[in-house]
Amino acid sequence: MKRLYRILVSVFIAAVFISCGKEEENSPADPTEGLKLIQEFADDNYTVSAWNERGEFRLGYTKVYFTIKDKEGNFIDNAKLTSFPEMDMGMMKHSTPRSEIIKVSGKALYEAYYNFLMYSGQGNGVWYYDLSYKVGDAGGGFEDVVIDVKNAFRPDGKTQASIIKTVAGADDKRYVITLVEPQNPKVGVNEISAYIHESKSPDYPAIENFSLGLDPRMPSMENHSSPNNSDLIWSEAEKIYKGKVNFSMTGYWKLNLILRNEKKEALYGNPISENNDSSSLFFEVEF
Amino acid sequence: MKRILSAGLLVIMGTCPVVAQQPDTIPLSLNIREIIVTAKTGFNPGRQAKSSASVEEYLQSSGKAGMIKRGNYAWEPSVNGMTSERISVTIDGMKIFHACTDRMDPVTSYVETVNLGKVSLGSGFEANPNASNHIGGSIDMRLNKSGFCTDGFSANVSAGYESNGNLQVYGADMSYANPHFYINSGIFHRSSSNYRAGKSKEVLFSQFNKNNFFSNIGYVVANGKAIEGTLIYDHARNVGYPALTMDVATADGLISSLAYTMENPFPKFYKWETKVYYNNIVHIMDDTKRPDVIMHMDMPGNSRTGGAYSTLSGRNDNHRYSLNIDGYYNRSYAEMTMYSNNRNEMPMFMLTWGDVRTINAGIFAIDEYRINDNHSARLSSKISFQRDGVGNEEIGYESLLVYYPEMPRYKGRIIGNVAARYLFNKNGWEASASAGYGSRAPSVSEAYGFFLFNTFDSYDYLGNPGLKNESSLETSLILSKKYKTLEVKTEASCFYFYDYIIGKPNVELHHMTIGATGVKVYQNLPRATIMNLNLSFKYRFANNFIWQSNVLYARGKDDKNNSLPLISPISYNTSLTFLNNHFTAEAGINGAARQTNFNPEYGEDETGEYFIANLSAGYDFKAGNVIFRMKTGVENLFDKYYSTYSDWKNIPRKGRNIFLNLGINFN
Ligand SMILES: [Cu+2]
Ligand SMILES: [Cu+2]
Repeated sequence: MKRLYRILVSVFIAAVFISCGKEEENSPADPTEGLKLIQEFADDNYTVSAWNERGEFRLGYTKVYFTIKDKEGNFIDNAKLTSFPEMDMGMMKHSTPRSEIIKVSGKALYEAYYNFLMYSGQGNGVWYYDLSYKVGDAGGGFEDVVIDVKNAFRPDGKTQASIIKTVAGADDKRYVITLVEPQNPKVGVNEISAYIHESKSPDYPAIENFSLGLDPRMPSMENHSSPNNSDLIWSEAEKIYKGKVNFSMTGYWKLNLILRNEKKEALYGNPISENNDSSSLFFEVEF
Repeated sequence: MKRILSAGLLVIMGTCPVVAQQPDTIPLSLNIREIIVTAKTGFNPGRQAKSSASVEEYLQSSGKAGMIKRGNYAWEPSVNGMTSERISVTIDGMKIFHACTDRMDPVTSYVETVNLGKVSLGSGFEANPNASNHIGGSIDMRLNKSGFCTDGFSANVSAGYESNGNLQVYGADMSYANPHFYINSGIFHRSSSNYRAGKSKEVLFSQFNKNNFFSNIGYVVANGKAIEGTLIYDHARNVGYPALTMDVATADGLISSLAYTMENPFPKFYKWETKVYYNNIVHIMDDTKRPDVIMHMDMPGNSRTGGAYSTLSGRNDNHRYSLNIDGYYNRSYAEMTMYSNNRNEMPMFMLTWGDVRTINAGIFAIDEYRINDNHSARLSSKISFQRDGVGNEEIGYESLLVYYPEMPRYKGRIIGNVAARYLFNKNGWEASASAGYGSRAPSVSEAYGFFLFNTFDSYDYLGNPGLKNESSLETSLILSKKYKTLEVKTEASCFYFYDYIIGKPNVELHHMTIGATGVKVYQNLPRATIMNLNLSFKYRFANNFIWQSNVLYARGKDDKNNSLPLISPISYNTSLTFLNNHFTAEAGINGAARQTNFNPEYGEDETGEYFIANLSAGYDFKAGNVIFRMKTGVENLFDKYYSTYSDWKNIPRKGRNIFLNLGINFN
């Protein structure tokens, strides 16, 4: 038994070495490996492309990578990019919480996130997108390009997933709370992260030093919960709220939240109690 | 060699005219209880039950093993008030583990009476060299092998019918044996509809259907060297469990082994047996037939065990000794998929046994020293190394990490025991005193079970990978006196546990099963005690009559002097048997006093007293080469409605039952 085990282990180690070696051999210069194209913006000088793992903008947290190429096809790694998304809903216009576009170190790649408050077509809204670049002294841009923000569904493909919420806090400010992780939930211990932005369209300043109380539940299992979860607290290093959520099984989980300010005062949401099996603020995770 | 192996069995059966050259390594002493199961030919007054009885009924009728019942099928045996995690159940020395997280399939349910020659019951650490983690006792089911006899060809057919539940039993087996080769093989069918408890109350979901095939082959490869193989395939389907919320769609057991035996391998050693084995159990539960299922679930389970052992037995002057090494590898896997009543939701999936892997290797030695005709002493010891853990990392290990963030994936343990016995024997007096100290590792469910719902106390049980080994100091005293016609025996055993493993509520955890009261987590109690006391006598009179009686008292207490669950109240049986060469008749009653030492914390309530009466008669006769056997009787004559301390959720036992068994044996 032990010998067989040893043989298996050495075969495995050999396989790992071989596969690792291979990767190094044909390591490509293409910074977009593994990413899917969302949209391209081209003028006479440059082509700016938006990418991410899914190849789409989507309701809620959407990570986006950009590349910028000259007409010879060279990736430019010293550009500066800025963007502004705006939804036109006829009666009103609004933007959405987002980050700056910043350079990924060591790669000709730029990254940003958008927390889309609505999907394209929701309330008859249309998302327009402005993008401008600067390469050295030269600059250019694209204005009012229509982008398609897809809806986010639960795995049944029909029910919209609750992954971004706008709430009116007890302090009379409006906040947008966006679920970031887990994107690929698993049974066991999961990192959970979220953003909190204040809603002052067109600006959405990121809020620091608040917290989110967390109570994950399974409504169809008599509100079963898991132990050892941690509330989401501000990570100064990563500029995001981070905590831990534990899933004891697959299925539909409701992550009940309480939004608290830096003085730990509850601004929105309520604890789970005998007569209240849900918070007014929650995310949904299903897998 | 084969002769030696089953000397006891063959002598009793009288099929093999060869005289055993050496006695069994571990002598048939007064505290190893043997239950004869198959008796192929002729009249056998030693047979304790009707011939159509299940293995569980045989064990129960012996009075030495208790039975926990969740229905009409697959009762869970207990020895000294302890069940599977504290006793070792082996088949011819082979380790085999159940595949159901809800204890629906004690391994005794994967064999049939035709598979077995006898069952050896050991108390505490004694007896079975291949037992592991057997703090309370051991059950070794010895296979029914023809052996290297001169019998030639013989065949058996049998049929049984029982009125209660329309139970039907059909079996056929044949054997061919010569001194160099044997084969015996058989098929067996057993099925029942719902049975009726006393007062004609139908117990719904108590049906079952079972088929069994077995084959044993032996071949003498050279003088004193033989190879033997065994294959058992057991298939049960549509098994109802009235005390549980689910039934079983199918339960399959495949049991196989290959053994090599040498006679007189070395000077001072007379037998060396080496066996490799593999068994696979697949258990599929089913809730689709239940009317009020709150949430539909799929719960398949699988237990696979492979192992080997080698036993060297010898004798020199006044010493009889045996050395044994054994090892096994078990994988226990069980999953649960729950389908939400909200159809938009994804099914909920979890591993209730996350491919729990156990490797265990042990070495055992025993020596019995016959000091003189009246005194003998025995010393035995076993030490085992065990490594267990969760094989499935993605779900099994990860989900346990939620509850035990620091938990290592695998864990090593050392388990062992030492036991000593002193035996005195003179003028019909027999006295033995024994003491042992040893430990056991937590069972798969105790260490790694994930939200196993226990319908008995309505708690979800969570395993605890940080459990310490449970250990026990045990003592037993047996005193018996044989007169010409009277035998009186008293037995007492006491188990004093340290780090006793039992589930305790943890109010901080949320239950998972809908309707559950809460979550219990296995913990080590600092101490617990279990005590058993047994008095019996057997009186022969007027040449043809035997009157025997047996009274049992047991008590189990935890560290706070509260009662442990599933411990028998005072129970008794008494029977009067008439027998002559061809005819046997028996009348008996058995019953129990009111259970006063119950513990609601474990879901127990008071069980009332009861007694039931049974009658039976048998007749055997021979015509040429054919022997006919008949047995008929009535169980629970007065159609009492009752349940015992060990009936899960107080499901009632069978009401009046009339049975008829027929057997024909061709030689
Ligand atoms: Cu909008
Ligand atoms: Cu089961």
